[in-house]
Amino acid sequence: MELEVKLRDKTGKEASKKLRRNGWIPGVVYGAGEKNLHVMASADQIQNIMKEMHGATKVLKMKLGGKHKDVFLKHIDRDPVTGKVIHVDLQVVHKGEEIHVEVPVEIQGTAKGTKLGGVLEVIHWRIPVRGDITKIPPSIEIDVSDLDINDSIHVRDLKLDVVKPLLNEDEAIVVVLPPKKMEEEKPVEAEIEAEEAAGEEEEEGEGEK
Amino acid sequence: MLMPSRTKYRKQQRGRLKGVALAGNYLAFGEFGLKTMEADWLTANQIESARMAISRYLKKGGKLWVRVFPDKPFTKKPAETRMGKGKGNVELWVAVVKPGRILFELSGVSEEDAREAFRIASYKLPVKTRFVSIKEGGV
Repeated sequence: MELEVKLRDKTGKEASKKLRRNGWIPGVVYGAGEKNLHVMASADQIQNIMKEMHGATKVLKMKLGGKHKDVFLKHIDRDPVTGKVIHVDLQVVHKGEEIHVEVPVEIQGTAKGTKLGGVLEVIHWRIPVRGDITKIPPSIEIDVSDLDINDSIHVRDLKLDVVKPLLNEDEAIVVVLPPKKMEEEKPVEAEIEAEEAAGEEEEEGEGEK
Repeated sequence: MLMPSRTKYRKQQRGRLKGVALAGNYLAFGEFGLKTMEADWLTANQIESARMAISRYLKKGGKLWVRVFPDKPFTKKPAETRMGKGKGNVELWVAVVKPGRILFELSGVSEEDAREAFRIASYKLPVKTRFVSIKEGGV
C-alpha cells in the first residue's frame, strides 16, 4: 500500500483545523535517525488505507517528494464524538530494525464453553509486541474452539516465535466466563453446606450436655 | 439505585456542560459500546432502566459494563416554598456526560444482538446515542 504525503509548513491548532476543513489530515513522521517532519495526507487516502488494513499492522510505502520510505501507522488520533481520524503518527522503519508495536487479536472459532452458556471475554484486543519489522504479523490469530467454561488463553500459550510479547506471561488474553446462573448457584450451595455443618455442630453440642 | 456511599460535601453547584468527553471516550473493556452524542445529566434511574433493558434483552448472555456513575447530587426545593432559606434537599443523583462518552459496553454477544440491545436502551436515555465497535477503532 502506498501513502502519498506532502510537507506542511504551518503547525498548531488553527492551521490543523483549516487542513481538516479542506480534506487533509495532519500527521507527523519520525523514526530512528530520521528528522521529524510535519506532513499531511488526503483524508480519502487515509480512510481507504484503514479500510484495507482492517486494524492490522502493516508496513506502508510513504511517498514524499519523489522519495519512498517504509512507515508504520504508529498512532491514530480520532475525534471522540464523530470517530473520524484527526491526526496520524508515521514511524519510519528500516530493514532489520526492532520496533515496538501493538498487534490486533483475531478470534477464530466458537468456544465450547459458549455453547454451554458461558461468555467469551477478550481481555486484550491488542497485544504490544517487539520484533523485527519484516516479521511482525499483521494480526495474532487465537483459536478458541477448545475453550471450555473457566478456561483461558494466556500470553505464554501464544506461539509467537519471531516477536516477543511485552505483556506478563501469566496475563490472560481470552477467558470463557461461567454463565450467570452457575455463578448465582455457587453461593447458595456454599450457604446450605455451611448451615448443615452448623446444625451438625449444634446437635453434637446438645448430645454432650 | 446507583449513588455514592459517602461524599465529602452534601451538595454541589450545577456547573456547565461545555466541550467533549476527554475521558471515557473509547472502548476499554468490551467489543461494542453505546456512545452519547450530546451533553446532559443522566439520572441514576435512567442509567438503571437502560441497564435493565439491555440485560433483559440479552437474557443471561454477554457481559455488560456500565461506564458512567451518578456522583453529582441534584437538589430540589419542596413544592410551594418561598425562595431563600438555603439550598434544597438532595433528591437524586446524576452523572454528567459530554459528547463522545461511552455509556455502556458489551462483550460475548453478536453484533446484531448488541445493536438491538443498545437501541432499546437508548429509549431510556435523554441523549442521542451512537453504536461503536472495536473493529471500527473503538471510538
